[in-house]
Amino acid sequence: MNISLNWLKQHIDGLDKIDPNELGLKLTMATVEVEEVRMQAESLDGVVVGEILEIKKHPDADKLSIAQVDVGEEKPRQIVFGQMVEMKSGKKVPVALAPTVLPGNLEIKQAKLRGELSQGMLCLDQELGLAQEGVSIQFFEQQTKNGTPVVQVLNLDDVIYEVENKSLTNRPDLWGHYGMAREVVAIYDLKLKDYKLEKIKPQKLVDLKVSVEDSELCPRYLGVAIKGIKITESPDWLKQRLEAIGQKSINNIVDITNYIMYDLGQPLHAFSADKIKNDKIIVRRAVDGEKLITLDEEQRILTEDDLVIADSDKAVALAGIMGNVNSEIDDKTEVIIIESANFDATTIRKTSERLGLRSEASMRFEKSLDPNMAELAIKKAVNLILELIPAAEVVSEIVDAKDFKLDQGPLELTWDFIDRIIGQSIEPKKVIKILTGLGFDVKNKTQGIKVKIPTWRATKDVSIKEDIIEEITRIFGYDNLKPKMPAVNLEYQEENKLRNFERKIKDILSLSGASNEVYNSSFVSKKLLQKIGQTIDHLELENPWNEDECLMRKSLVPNLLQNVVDNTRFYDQFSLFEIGKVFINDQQGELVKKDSEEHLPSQLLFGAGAVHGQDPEVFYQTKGLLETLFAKLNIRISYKESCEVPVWCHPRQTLMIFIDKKEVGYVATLHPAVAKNLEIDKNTAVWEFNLNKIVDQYLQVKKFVPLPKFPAVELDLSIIVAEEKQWKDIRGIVKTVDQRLIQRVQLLDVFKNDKIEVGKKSVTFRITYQANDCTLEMADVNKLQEKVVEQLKNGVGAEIRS
Amino acid sequence: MKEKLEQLKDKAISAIKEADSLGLLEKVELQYFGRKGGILNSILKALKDLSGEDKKEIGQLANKIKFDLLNLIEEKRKELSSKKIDQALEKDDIDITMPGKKKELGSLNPNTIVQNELEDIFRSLGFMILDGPELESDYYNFEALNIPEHHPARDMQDTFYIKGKEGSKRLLRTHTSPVQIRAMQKYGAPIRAVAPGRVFRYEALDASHENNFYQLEGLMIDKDISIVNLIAVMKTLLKGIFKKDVKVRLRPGYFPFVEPGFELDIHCLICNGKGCSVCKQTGWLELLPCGMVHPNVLRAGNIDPEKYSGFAFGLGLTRLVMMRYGINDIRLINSGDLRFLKQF
Repeated sequence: MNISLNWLKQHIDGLDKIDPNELGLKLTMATVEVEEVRMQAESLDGVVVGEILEIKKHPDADKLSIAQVDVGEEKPRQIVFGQMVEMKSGKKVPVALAPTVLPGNLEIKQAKLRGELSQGMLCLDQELGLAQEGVSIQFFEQQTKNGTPVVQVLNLDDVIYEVENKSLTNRPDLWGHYGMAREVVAIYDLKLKDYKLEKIKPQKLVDLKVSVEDSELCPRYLGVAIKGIKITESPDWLKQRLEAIGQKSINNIVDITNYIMYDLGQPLHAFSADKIKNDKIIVRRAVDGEKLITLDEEQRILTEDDLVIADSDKAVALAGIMGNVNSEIDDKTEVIIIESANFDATTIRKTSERLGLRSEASMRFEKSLDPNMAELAIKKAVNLILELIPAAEVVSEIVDAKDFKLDQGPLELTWDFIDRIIGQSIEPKKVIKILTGLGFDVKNKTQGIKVKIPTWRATKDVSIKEDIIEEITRIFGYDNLKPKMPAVNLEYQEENKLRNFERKIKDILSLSGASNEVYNSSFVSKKLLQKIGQTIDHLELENPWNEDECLMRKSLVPNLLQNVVDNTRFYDQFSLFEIGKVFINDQQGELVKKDSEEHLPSQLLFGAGAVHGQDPEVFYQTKGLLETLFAKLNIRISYKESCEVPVWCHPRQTLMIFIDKKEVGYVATLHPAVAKNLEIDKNTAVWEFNLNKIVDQYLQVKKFVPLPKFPAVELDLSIIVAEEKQWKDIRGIVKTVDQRLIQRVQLLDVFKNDKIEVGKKSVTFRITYQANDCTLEMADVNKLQEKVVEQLKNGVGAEIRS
Repeated sequence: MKEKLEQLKDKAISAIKEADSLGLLEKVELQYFGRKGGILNSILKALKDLSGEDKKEIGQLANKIKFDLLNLIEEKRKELSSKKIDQALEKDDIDITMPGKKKELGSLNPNTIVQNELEDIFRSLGFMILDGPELESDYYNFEALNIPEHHPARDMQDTFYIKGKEGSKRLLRTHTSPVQIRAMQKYGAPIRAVAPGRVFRYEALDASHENNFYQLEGLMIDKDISIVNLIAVMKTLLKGIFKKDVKVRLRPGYFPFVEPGFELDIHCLICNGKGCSVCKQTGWLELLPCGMVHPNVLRAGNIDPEKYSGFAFGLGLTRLVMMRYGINDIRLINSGDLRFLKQF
């Protein structure tokens, strides 16, 4: 919302002495966020009134024309312009004289445009910062002297404060200048002028009736009929007020209602009285399926949750949001009915949300406006109409249907409470002054204060003691508080085991594992899953940002595979990993509410990775990565083959990882079909496991093993076995020869070559013999080694390679 | 006999001096001190045939010569071996300007690095580290935080909803604040905790907007916790993050789950408060929304607002990461692009 300094001055004395920039800063620090302070005249020094003497077409550009413009200099300037608005010779318009800089850092230089010299620019309102949207231009009166600065002609001496609307969400009273003036008054300790109203003397020619069917949805409705209306342009002062805050002037009646909305924050609506049957206004719920056409010319289909303003036949407006075209005022309108009402915030908000229709009015009503403001607003509207249209006459009473009660407290705060929450004592005199300045009625008691909430703050905004604390401290100035560290009891804080575990894993993988940690979106693309071939039973977003990315990941692998695809452009080999939550389509997560029976979907912390590189090493690299990881974590794992593996796993190159008989994850070569669909041409392996299942095994304390007292004997052995024989079996056979003395069996090499029979392979490994209680005799070791050889012959048909 | 010894000594000294290699020196040593046939050894052995004063005098002299010569040999040996190393060194040139053999290491995502740092800061201040569901109920994400249905504040938080049965709305948490309620319900008061984690906003992606990003929620509840305490803890926190005192300002901010609510701005670190494009010429950066926990929120967490008070804050973790490393496009953090990741 834009706030005009000149407009504020209308309500406050003594504002002239205050630096406009400082005022903006003070508002930010005490009330609302001022995003920008804009001097209207800023960057307009180079813009003057210019008269168009002659226009001709640009010889080389269809869309450009060339004008000779008298800007009060000796010779006219030549200016090339586009035809955004119709231009004729004799018109007087704003001209930026090159070289100059316009608002928004728009630089105007003397230049040739398609070969024709241009010495300035004819300026639209938008280019001068006078309007935010649309295409419009100022035409000056003929008597205006050429060369006069536009700042002077247009009285551009205002300062505009651009207020961030979100920072007004909780302040229904600040959606107009009068409310903002109240804040300024409190901040600077000035005096707010009374809101002046002339007495209204109605004739009773029209028997205006208002019937509110549900006063909860419409706590107050005021209406008045005025005849003798003549729709004209607004006077300059009114135009200027509205234009200063970026609103276009439309006609006298619309401008008056807008003016009051931006002044008091109270939206008004004007109906053409001849379009309201029997002068009777009914405020009722819409009928399911009822239709109306709003002023933006859209047909709206309503439900009984919506509130309409109607006569006995038809709805004439969508309450608090927008009028219906069927009751719009037009040039023929002579009698109007002004509505100034108060509607239930939630109802307005629901309707406007459902219809996707937000207006300046609905934005205000949904913040919970003060019903008292409606009365002030309608009286002011009548005053202004009578002032602007001398022939206008009030022809009905101001009808007032009201049924509302505001909780104005009082709230009782003890001095002790105030000091305790602020943490610092503020002088009682100061506290009372601040609150009184903001319009609170304060009674000073010995123990504390009794505070009555002003109506404009009592709708929702201020209702508890803590709200009063905020009022006191923000005006006192947060910067005037002295920071003080809390004094609390020293206590050991429980550690988050899962987080520690996650951190440890990340450290090991990124350091010893040489893997790079990625963060992927929690969403996964349907198309990607289709390429991979995963069945889609994922949790789905109701409102995905794009249709494809609509699923919640239940594994980290698919997005990691996408990372592999993306990175192969720049790298041949890499190892990626991610640790993050996956979402399971069940009801076994946390409770949705305390003491409820319902649960959220499970959300498990997974770790996963993809290793991309040379065949066939990449599988072993990946397996080794996990073995290093778990060894470092001091968790013992085992493997099992399985026929049930994720679709992206190679069916014959997958190992399920087990910890303590629980399956916790897997390591696998990427399925060749998936690799092909994703166009991954080099070998890739993936792994994944569930941290939640393992964290209990993560013992941070490792047991020390005493150093061996007796020497070990290491013997290497090379055997030739059938290709399909597995290392697991060979190793098993060796180990069973003597569980006690054979401490370790370590694979050194596996190969095939032309000296080895087809279908066979050579396996070389090292056996470590060692006893805990004596030095082994070589003869005993040799005996064991012979036994190993024999068992291998029997077990896997091994021959010893010479 | 004496003379003979002196001559022998002189001869030996010059032989030692002349030896110009360790081999020759060894020969000399053997010549005089070899167990078999070493000249000096033989003389010493022969001493036992002498008698009386002679034996004593000659014996002392011979031993002294032996001692001196052995010392001399030792010195010469040291000299020769260091000379040998020196000579070897001259031939031992490698190109030390060639690059070192690096050990390939991986990397942590910058978000992880900063998050770890923050967790450590808070652990050192005695805060627990918590986490909570990313897919939440409407109750925890909004209602319990004093944001009932159709509250205008819901506009501030564009929400992703999960498809499901009517009535029981599930959504992706729009902030880490739901952890406040879960933590209060689980641990009661007093409590000191932070909860870093992923949050979601229904937004178009661009250089400064992601729909998956990170926040860090903080909560402290105890007896007599006040606004000045909040300011002090926030300042300490920022000092921990930026490793120096940071100029801050506190201004009103509206969040339904706190009362009063604040926006904490820090002096722009890029321009030092002079005004630049990052801080939109204001000199200040909005970094830390915070406030005193609203009594309704305390009640939702089963804590009696008459007995306890506290503050909460929400730090834009991802935003801090961008500030820390000067990352100009938020999308890089979730891009999985190794050209980016390998820099950390």
